Amino acid sequence: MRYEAIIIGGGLGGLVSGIRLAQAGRRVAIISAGKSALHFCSGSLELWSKWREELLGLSESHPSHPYNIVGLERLERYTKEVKEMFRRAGMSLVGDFEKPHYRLTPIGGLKPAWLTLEEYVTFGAKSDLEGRRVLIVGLEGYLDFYPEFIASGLGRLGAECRVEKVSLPELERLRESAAEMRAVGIARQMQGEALERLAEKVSGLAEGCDLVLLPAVFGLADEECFRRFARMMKPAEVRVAPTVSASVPGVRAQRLLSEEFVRLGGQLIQGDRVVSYQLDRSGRIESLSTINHADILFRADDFILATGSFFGRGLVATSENIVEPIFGLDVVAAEAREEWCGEKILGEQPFQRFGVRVDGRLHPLKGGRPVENLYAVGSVLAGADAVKEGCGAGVVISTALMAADEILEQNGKRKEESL
Amino acid sequence: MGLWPKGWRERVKEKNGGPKAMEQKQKEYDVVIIGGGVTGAGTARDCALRGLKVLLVERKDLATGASGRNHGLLHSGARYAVTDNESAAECISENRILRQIARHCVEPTDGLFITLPEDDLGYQEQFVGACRRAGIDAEPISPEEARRLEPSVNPALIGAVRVPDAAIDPFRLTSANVLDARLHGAEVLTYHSVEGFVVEQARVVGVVLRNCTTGESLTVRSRVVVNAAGIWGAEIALKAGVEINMYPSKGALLVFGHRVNNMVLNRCRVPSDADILVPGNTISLIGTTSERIPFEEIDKNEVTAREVDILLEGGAKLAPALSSTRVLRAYSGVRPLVAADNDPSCRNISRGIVCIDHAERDGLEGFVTITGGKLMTYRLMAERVTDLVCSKLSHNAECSTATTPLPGSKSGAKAESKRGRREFVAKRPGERGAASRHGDRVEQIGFQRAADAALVCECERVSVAEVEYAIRSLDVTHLDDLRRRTRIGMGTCQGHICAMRAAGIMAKTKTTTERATEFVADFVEERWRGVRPVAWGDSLVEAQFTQWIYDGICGLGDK
Repeated sequence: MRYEAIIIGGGLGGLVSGIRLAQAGRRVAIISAGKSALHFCSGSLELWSKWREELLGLSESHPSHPYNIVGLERLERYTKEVKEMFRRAGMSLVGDFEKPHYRLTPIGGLKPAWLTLEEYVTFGAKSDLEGRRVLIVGLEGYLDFYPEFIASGLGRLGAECRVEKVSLPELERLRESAAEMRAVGIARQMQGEALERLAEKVSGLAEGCDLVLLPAVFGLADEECFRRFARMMKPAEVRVAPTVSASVPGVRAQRLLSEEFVRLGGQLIQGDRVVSYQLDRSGRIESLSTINHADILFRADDFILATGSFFGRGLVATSENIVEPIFGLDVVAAEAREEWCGEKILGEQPFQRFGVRVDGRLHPLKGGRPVENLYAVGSVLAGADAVKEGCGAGVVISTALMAADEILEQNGKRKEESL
Repeated sequence: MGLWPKGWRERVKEKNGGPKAMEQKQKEYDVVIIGGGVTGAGTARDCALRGLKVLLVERKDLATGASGRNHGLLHSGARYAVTDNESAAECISENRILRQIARHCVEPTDGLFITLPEDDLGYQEQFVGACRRAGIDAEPISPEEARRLEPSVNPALIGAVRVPDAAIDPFRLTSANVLDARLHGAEVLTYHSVEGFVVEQARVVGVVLRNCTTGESLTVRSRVVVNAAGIWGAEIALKAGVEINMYPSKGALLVFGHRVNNMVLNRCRVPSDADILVPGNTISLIGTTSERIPFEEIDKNEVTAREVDILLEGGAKLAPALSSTRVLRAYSGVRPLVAADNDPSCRNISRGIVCIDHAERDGLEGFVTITGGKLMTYRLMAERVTDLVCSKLSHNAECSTATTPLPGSKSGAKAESKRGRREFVAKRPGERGAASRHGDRVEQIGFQRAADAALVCECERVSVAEVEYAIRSLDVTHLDDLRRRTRIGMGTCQGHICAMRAAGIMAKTKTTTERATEFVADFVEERWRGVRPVAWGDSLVEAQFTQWIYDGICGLGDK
């Protein structure tokens, strides 16, 4: 099978690159093993855990950070473009590069965020909470949403909070199996009459409140589900708050971006894993082989590695070393096993910054030399600490778009040359 | 004697609270037992069953010392048969008793002692003879038979002996002893440390305690005090002004991500490092190492990369599949070995039971120490020290712990056979999980509402009802205590899914949301201490995910 570009990895990075290339009319395929960090998304695409000023000095303070390859100017442009990309795929993001806001954590804390899905509650400033009357509604028996924790967190910032629990006959059925009362299982029930019944129950409780918060369990397929619910709830303002573990809006984002990619003509090969690659005489990557299509070679002009970090298996740690398992690329990592991890899991973890080494155009190095038609994007890159810097989504989006642009530009040049 | 840091003894003696002004009326007990490990718990139970008024105190939680940091092996005694035949005989006798009284804590797996090509097959004959002398059924079987019985065994073996080893859950065992002590009137104070003793005319008459949560101090009076604090017993004894010549011996173990073997696997040779592989619950355990450490390190519990490598190598010798099995975590405990009084060099170390009447030995009345021994012989240790306590109090009561089942193991022969177990359990996974852990006490758990069966911990099948029962009835203060009572967070995810769920339930019944949030942070850090030495492969994947969820999404790592 022959493509102009093949992307390895179908998470946020792979999809963003893929959509960009497909939109430009390229024949592009994504090979996805199926695991995506989007499924555990907080509701926000984070660019930087602190404020914008710090980003300006990044080349000094964090010289090996992938943001330095992208550059702030492009980062700003890509932030706007991804908002538009999400909109076309059917998702509304609020916020922008200029002015961060706060998102709510599942345990009632506030964290700076830049782009957040519209249904989630956000606050412009901590002082916004003062005197607000907030109703937080939990679902009876659902264990991954913490209304009491949110109430005490918002209460500390001056909000007046009340917690209520509701139940629905549709949810009772989920209890037949002990592991079904989960965000995704609940979201499947949140339609039709169940949605109306919930709106009626919550409306009855919402008297005198100016903000109602519910767990993010609305709409695996689209945003319309929550909008419909919110319309029925008028006049109180309704928003969702994050749950711990699987995220319904994250699952939805994964789905809508995949659909957008396919709609634009991209080919999504799911549940497959790249196991080896073939080089041509000039040392460029010519093709890939996968587990499910052992007899077929996936050929392309360019390849994007968007396999993620350890979680996505873009990096693999053995008891002896850390490797990039597909191409055996050069990896930036501490040599001794004892130095991979920090003392506290909630503290600095050196392994978070491990990843593949790239040149200024995102070509990864192998044996010290860049692989010319391969680009590495997202969490597989070395130099960023997605958790401590709160830059996970930002690095993914900006490098994914940059790699796509590089490919388009190089192709353009190649075509010009051949004319 | 270089193990005692300079000036340490003096400092401990100075810190001894001594008799303080006691305004409020002090509570009085027949016996105060120091140490919430299995020995202290067993002693509290024995004393309570014999009708004494008992207080059990523990500075942390139950089974946080060596009791919760071992193999969970119900020794047949075979391991000691050649080197210490008396210990071996004690083991097999207690082995038979525990299979009856602690049935719900024991998995009757049986064990094999295997001889590999590099071992001396001649040792096997000596071994079998010694086992038989100690009264242990040791049956030599062919390598083919061993491979059939235990498919994970190293196929290169040249000999095997089948023995009645088994797996025992030490957390469950400790908790069941405490529960029974309570049911017989004993009081329990966890998170209370011993600050000093009240000594009047060469007699210990009381204990000064500190509530570790509030910092408040509290004095109780007691006719006898039992020091059952394991390796920490050396420091406790010093606070009472007497010395015990102890030898801290560190043993490290590894937990594998699933149950590789179904029988206990041992090497048939002189006991050495990394030669026992024990299946337990959902996992397998390889251990141990044995290293003398200084007293300053007894609370460190860190496992080094070298120890990890020794254990991995030894484990793969017993069951080659271990070399490709995920290592879940590493942990270590400290054995409280005691040297003879006339042996200050600690050369003459015994792993046997040491029961000291300090009146006889040091002229200090009202204070006794029970130490040495092992998990296997905790009941016998409890019996011996309770006999001593009773004779001091001139209290005439027979020991009944060898025949009285523990709570959870009371329901006749039902749980005995596999079929029996099935009768006794219900349909939902949470109920099955609870029944496997709490035996007949599952009736106290009560799955009335549909929501009660919802799973908090999916790896270990722990339900809402079981968590609520543990909080209600099993002395749970912290989230980590809940783990020791129910196994939440002990499975493959190492707590990243269940920690927050369990904290949510605790915040409803037991504590504030602020405290519960701290508990979650402490819980994930405690799990991490065990994962860190083995953080590669899937364990590093889980670690990255845990940090993402609890720090990235929840913000627990924010200053």
